[in-house]
Amino acid sequence: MGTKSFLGEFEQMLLLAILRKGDEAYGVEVRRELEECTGKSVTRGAFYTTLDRLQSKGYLTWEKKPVEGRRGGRPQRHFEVTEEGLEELRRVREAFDNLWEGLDHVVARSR
Amino acid sequence: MSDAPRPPRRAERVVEVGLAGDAATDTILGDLHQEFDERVAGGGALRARAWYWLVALELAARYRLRALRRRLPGDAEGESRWRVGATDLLGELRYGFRMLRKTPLVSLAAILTIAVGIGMTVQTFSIVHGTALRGVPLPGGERLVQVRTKNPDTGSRNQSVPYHDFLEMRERVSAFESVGSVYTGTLNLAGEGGPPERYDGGWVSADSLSWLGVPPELGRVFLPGEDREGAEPLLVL
Repeated sequence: MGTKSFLGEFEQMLLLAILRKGDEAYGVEVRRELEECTGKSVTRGAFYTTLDRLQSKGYLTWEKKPVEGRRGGRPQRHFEVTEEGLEELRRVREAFDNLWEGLDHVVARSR
Repeated sequence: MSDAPRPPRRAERVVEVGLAGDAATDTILGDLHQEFDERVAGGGALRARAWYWLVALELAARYRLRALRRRLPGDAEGESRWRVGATDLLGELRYGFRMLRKTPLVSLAAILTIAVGIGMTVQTFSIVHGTALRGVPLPGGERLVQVRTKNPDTGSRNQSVPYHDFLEMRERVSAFESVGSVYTGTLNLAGEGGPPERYDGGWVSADSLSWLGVPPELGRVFLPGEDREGAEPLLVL
């Protein structure tokens, strides 16, 4: 049994939003995807610092893409989830699946 | 050159300083610029600028706090009681700030209540400090004592000492180094031909200014005996 801690809730959501956006996984688009899917506003500070943290953990990479004629001529970042990041998401999902197993009837009854 | 509104330069500078050379600074500024343009189109330049400033300050504060947390001592695993404690504290502060924003009216009432409470506390302390703790702001003021009387017939307290009692006290009381009388009030003074003017002043026994340690603005203080009955009225400025 491992002792490695799981990804935080916001970290999971961010990685999933990046995966959902795919080729369009740029900063503004990822944040909007996150807000639309969760129904909650995301502060820029939390968003960008969490991206940095995930990158330092090796769960995502990014590269700058040049932009012309908008954004004040400044580049945008394209994000990609690494294989390590995918593995972490799988690990979290597996743990949740295990915990949820056999509880469907409990949840159904309390609704 | 385009006339389209652009993000406030000073707010952009705040972001640059806050991010302190972070490799992603130009892309984050680009993201903010993109959202700024969209907000200008949707709600006008003024609101977009106000929004930009708020975001710039939030971003700068978040990155500065992160940099501060990273400077705290950590052990080999990167975590220490300092760092964990600081992280908890920052988390609590963020949570508190969010709650304040969520209920602005309640927050305003709480802030006003705290402000009034602090104001009253400071006011009370100022009075206590000025009257009871600090003492009289004169040289050797901690040794000064004011004597008041009580009228046993009427029960009224804190009365001035009658002059004849003062004279007797000065003769007989040995507990004090010196005994003098001070009676404050306002005086109307008039020069030759000029209109009278009103001043704050007082009537004192001759040696009072000596032991109060207050030098005169002009000339000298009273000499012993100059307060005797029938003496010429004298004034010290």
